[in-house]
Amino acid sequence: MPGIQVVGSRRTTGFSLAVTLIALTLSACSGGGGEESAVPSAAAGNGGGAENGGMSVVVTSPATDLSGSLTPRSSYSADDIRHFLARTHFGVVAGKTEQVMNSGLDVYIDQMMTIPQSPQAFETDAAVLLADESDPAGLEGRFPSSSDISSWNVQLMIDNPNAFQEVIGMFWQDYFGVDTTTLNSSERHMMVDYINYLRRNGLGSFRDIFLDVSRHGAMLVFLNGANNNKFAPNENYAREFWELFSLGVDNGYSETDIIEGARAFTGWRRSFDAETGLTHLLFDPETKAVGSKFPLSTVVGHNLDQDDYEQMVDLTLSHSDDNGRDLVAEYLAGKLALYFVSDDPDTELVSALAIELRRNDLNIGATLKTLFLSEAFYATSHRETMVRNFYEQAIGLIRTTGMTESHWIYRRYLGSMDSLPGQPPSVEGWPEGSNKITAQSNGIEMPNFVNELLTNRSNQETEGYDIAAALQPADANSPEPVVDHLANLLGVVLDDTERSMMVDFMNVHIGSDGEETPLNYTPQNTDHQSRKLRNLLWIMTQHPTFHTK
Amino acid sequence: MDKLVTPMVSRRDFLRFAGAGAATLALSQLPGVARAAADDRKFVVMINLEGGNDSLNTLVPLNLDAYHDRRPALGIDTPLDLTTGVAASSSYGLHPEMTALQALHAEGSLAFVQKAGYPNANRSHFTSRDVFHTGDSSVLNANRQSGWIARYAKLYNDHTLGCISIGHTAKALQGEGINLLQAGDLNSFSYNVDGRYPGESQRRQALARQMLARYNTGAASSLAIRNAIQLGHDNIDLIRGALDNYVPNVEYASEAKFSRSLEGIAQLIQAGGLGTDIYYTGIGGFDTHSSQGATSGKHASLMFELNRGIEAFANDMKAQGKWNDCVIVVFSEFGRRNFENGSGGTDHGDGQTMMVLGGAVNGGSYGSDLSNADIRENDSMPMEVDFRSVFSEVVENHLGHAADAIFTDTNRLSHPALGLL
Repeated sequence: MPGIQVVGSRRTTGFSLAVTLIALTLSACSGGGGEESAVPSAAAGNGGGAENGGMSVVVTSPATDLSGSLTPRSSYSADDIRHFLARTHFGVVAGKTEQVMNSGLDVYIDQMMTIPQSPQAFETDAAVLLADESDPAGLEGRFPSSSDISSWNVQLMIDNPNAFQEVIGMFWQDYFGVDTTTLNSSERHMMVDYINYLRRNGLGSFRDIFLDVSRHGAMLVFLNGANNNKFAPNENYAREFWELFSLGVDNGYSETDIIEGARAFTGWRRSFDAETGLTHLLFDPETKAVGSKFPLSTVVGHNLDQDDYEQMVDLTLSHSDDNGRDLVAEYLAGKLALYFVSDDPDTELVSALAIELRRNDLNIGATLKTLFLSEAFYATSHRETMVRNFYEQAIGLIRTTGMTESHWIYRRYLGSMDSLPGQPPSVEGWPEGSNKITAQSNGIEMPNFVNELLTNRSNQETEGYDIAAALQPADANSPEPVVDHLANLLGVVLDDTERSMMVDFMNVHIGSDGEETPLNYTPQNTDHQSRKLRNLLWIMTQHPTFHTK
Repeated sequence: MDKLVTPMVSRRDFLRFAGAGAATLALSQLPGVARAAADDRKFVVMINLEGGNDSLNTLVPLNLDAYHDRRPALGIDTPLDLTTGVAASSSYGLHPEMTALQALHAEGSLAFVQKAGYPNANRSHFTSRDVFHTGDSSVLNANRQSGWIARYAKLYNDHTLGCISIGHTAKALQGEGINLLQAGDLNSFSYNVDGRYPGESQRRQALARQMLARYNTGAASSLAIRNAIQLGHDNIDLIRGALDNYVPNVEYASEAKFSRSLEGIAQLIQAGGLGTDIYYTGIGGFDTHSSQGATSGKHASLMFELNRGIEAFANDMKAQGKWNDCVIVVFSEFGRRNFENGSGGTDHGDGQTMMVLGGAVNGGSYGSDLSNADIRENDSMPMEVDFRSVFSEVVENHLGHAADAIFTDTNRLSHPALGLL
């Protein structure tokens, strides 16, 4: 419907063999873990090798680093599953690790990658947040504000039983960044459709996603495709089409290509429906640039009956540089590795993923499945080293603890941390790696957000919230297992001293005047839970490892 | 209900400090802070116009037919007059929203640097921003390159408040293994407490500080996060003290983030500056590919925000007696095309007009004047003055430190000193 056209069938690129050979060459030349790897590669090799179980890998030394290997791991420990959940589910919830282990990771991944296309109950419930009393009959939810859209997206992330669907949706929001606030009230319904498109189709073929996104109304408005016409082409989309969405900056295209590309992207314009008050995008041959275009040294279209978008996508997907490198697969592989594996992915892993992408005809789900089962994904050098996005921290905390607050509070804090879904800071998406870290967000906003959650006692209890079931082991009778359990759920890694400090905190009552009284923390005591367990949560989230995954 | 944690330095203590050279006392608590009297401290405010500012409609060339030929819809016919004052110019006029800058120009406190940029300009926002952040045009991937302000701090003012950003996170302050404060909004720079159990709140905060202080064996990312969280704990009392004791001199537009950021800087300066040499802030939204407008519309709104923020801040600095110690540098990642596009906007360009303001600034126009040929024969403003020359003059002539060690890029264009300060 809005903005999405049915696109043609997939095209074979004929790249696979060439890519394999090129990538193998690259991998042989690569620097392993990279000079700036947080953990020395020797340590990574020892850790990865120890759990390799003697499986065959394409390396020469038995003690080598497996951080670049897509060879499947032979088995997955509870720690492995927690790592998997931290990277793919916003974090861990009680019982989830056991559920995945019982079904087997391979089977579980297939389940989580089966995305229903029809609205599920939680989606229908969340859609209420898009509607307003002033909406015309029959058009309820079609005129949401930017805040409504962020709240709706947050609610989906909180409620979706399959958190991975929302994670992949956010990956694409990060990759194909569109800022809702740049769309007007008649256009914002397209943003709802855009977010739904990404979260429902994000595991399909990259070719289809790239083409559909390029023609989507939200993208056409955001990057000015809707204004780009034959009289004076607008370069905004052509530049990002290559720089951010497919090739990487200054990587295989020129300023002349951008000018030619902008001409090729002409032909779409807004169409306002006075009856409904909604704007859609339509292809209008009258606005398409006449004559052939010559992007990437290729002649593109002079057919005014259709747009040139499919040709642009296909010639880009088959574009290589002078050395024959598969630019798109490598760029996309780099982005996947950066989102799921490491803030500083090594070239060997990126090359291997690029090969895997082509082997799967650029299918995202199949490639990610290989990645999530691989040695590289679980390599020691990739554990607890990635900086979590703030939306991951906030949503993960809500999902893990079950503690809720109002949407006003969610928006207030996610907004101040520049982490509102539907509103990436720029078309480049959210910051990557250590650029995510700020004193304001990590040090002030996040602890204050946690405080909002933990002090919303009355409302949570009225709604039947059971903090003991959410955060304590059922059979706990002292603070130690509670501390350990909560640390595990939150992905916090405590040493013995830190653990003792937290246990000591649980066993003392601090009055308003600062006076201390011994308290034997009793997990079943609701006053203790309210006073101590809730505040233990705050301390845990101050631990640096809560902010990593 | 939630409330603020009581600052360790009480309001009364802080006022007592303030009455007796307090800033020096407060500063002496910070490691590595120069002991120069705070009143003498010179400082720089960097204002980043993110997205690529349209320089031609900011400082409008007069008497050039090419300007109007290239911009039939976007050209500004009657810009603000700059023909008065020591730096009088009949070659340019200012965007009509820039009334305060017009006045500062008449005072001789506003300098324009024409055709600023860097060699082989890149029209990618992200690459060009990285060049401006790192001061290095030789790298495409700036993630491995430190920011130029981080290098400055490491060399000349190495403490967490040595250089700070407010309201505008910047790579320029990252790297070099140092940890500079980047605050989103100083007004929210405080910890909320668990109102039902305030004693537990005090304890949890103390415990967190203890935990962070001994955390030193994690991954590099965890250590960087520890530093960021510690920055909050370590400075919150100092910053709250400064904010709580601030006596407003002027009114800032509280609804505008940019104005609030400048107000935050002014609050810290009034409290003695906390040992800061460079403050960094900015405004986004300058990527005006469509519906840019001329005297009204998107770009005019941005000019309005820039103007009213600088107006309040300059007046505040004058009221505080700090205007001569203050230099403001206004820049963007690039300028825009000379010609308007079909969407009523302008696409990415190369050269830009930078602005330098302050009581000690030698007002006027620097760099060669724009000509009809510059506008007609080029698709965007040519580049003649390397932006690092402007930054260097500010670092050397205002902050008093050698800039060569900060800007080491061999691709940098060299030319005689501009004489801005």
